[in-house]
Amino acid sequence: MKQTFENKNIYKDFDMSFSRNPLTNDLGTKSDERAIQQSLRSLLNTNYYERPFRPEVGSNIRNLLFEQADVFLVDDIKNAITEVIVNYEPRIAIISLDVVDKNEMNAYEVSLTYRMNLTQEVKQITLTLKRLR
Amino acid sequence: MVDRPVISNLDFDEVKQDLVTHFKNRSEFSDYEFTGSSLNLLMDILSYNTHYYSLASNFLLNESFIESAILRKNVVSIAQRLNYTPRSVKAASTTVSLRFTKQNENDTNIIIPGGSLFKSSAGNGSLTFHTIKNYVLQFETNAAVGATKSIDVEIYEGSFQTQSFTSNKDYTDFSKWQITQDNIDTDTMTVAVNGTQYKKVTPEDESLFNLSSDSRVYFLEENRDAGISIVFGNDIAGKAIKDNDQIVVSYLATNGVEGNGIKIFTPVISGRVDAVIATTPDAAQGGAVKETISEIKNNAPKWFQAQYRAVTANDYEVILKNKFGDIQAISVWGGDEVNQPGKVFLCIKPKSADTLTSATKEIIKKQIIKSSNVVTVRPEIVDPRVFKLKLQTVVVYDESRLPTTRSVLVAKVQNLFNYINTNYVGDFLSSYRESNLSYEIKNLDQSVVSSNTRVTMTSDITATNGFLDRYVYEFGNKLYHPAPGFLASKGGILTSSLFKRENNLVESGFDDDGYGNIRLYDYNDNTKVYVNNKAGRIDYETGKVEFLYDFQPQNGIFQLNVVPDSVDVIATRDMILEIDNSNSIVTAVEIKETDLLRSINLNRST
Repeated sequence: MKQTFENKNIYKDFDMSFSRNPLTNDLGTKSDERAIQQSLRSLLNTNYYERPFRPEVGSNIRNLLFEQADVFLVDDIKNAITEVIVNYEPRIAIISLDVVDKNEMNAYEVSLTYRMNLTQEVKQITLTLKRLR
Repeated sequence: MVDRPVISNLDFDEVKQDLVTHFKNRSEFSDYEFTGSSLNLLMDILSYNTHYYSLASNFLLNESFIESAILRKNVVSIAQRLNYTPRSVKAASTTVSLRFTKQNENDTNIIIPGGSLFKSSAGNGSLTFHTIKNYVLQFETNAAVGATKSIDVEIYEGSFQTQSFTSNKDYTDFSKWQITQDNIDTDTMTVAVNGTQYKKVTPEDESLFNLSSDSRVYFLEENRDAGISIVFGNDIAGKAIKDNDQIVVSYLATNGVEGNGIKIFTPVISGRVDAVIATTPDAAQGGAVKETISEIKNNAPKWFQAQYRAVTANDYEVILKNKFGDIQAISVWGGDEVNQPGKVFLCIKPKSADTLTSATKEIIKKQIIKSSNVVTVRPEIVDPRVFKLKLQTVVVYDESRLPTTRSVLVAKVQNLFNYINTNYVGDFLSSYRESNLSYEIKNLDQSVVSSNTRVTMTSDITATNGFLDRYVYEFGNKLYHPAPGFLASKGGILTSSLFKRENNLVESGFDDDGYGNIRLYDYNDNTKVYVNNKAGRIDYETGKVEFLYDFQPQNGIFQLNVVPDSVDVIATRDMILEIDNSNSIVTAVEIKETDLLRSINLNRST
């Protein structure tokens, strides 16, 4: 007996880079884990007052990148990331969050381990925060 | 059924919710509601765009109608379509009698040029008055040297200013020239092109239809910066401006209302140091600010309805409000209503005083009404009768609910009287109603339990050279008189303030005997000594008070007080009521102070 499996996506978003699906020539999509990771990147790169009529959305991370780089700043960035995820990304729960000062690159490396609430899968994402995106 | 997005919402959040609800039903995507998702960001942008255009459309539509427009330039623009030009700032004016002395045999003609200065000491001497046209005085041929002669000249407050323009091209269409000064009285403006005087044309001018390419005319309009622009013709209706034409505009830049009330002037006539003011003129009147947005909204449609002709009572009101700014209240009625056909009665209460001066009345009749009036109808300007209301108000309050103090509550009620003057009375036909006052007092403070107000009507009486300005005073309301002889021993319901009479050492006053007679008394050692028991009549039914006795008062003003029958006071078409705040009494009584409440006199007469 032949079995067919339908790949049913829970979360489905369009690709922020507006890539093209090579098979359908339609707008590229991101689903499930990749949709969440795109959302996280978007939230961390959004400043307060950037969204129209929603000044509270985003974080202060971009401003923090222009502060003097010291040990306290790492904590501030951690707090900012935690705050924005707790407030605006209900699909995941943070398991661990590390922020490493990569001063030789003028950047901070963020490693986030999280659990997807719906599937309980544990995933990881690494982001590099730079003054220039 | 296809779920269509709702398109009636204006609020950003509602618009976004509508869009999300609509798109969520489609299967392509699912992450519309997660803030970080690209779809949510897209929804934000779409909602912002929708919200932006919805508001823009809303503003656009609102600004397209005179009732809902907010911006002055749009209100003026719509009014322009109704051929209505808003009133500019108006200069206060009066007529002064200038006296000259013949200096020598050859001194026969004296020219008082337009622009002659009349200094005043008001406004730290910064307010000056000027003539706006030339006057010529001629001595009689046989007049001796040293003889004097007077001439009446109209003077207007403001400083004369001139602005010049030079055209740099041939205009074939209407050309607009903007005056930079913003406080111009346009009635005083003169425009000359290459030294030739041009005539102002207004929409109501009959001559509008006779304009040709040679007509030396200009039009006036308020521009989008609320300033004044002059517009020249297009070689079809009015002569157009050509290259190198010199345009010179002279006008009076005025301080508007600040010029009202001034009556002391020093003339500075070029070459004539002998010029003096012969008699003290009437105080200057007519100074006004430019027409406000709400006034334009109110007047423009009525102006269009009137078609620049004063036919109905309403037409007179609109025309006067457009041409003469110093109006607090106006009432117009036809002579047919008062058995004087062929006349129209205009009763105007100026903002700057209680009545119009005779000079201002003449200006209104000759310069404003004449051009719009039906030829067989004679306008008659009558003075408003201003009655002051002295109130005696008792406010009962509950101390436990009083957030402040008793004196603050009293002050609040006294301030409320000013509010009542502005919003309930102070206009023709605006009656004083005790229930309105009670309602406002009740709403004033949560601690107010009740209020009770007694009213006395007061009219000012002016005595000059032993005579009164009038001998009959119509209070227009039934007076309090429950029985013949009412309160005769206490002086009835009519009282007056004390005044001095010629050749009399003590002060005098009036009261009534309760039978319709007004009694004149001398007030000696705190005692009334009656001089004449029938010095006048009082009709309690109609409120008519008439003096029949020549009691020779000294120059001055005194007050006549009567108690109306009702707690309300009715204002007729030429009556204006004003609460006399300084002479009104407010008493606040705590609800538990029963003894005090009993002791307060709430009778309608003392």
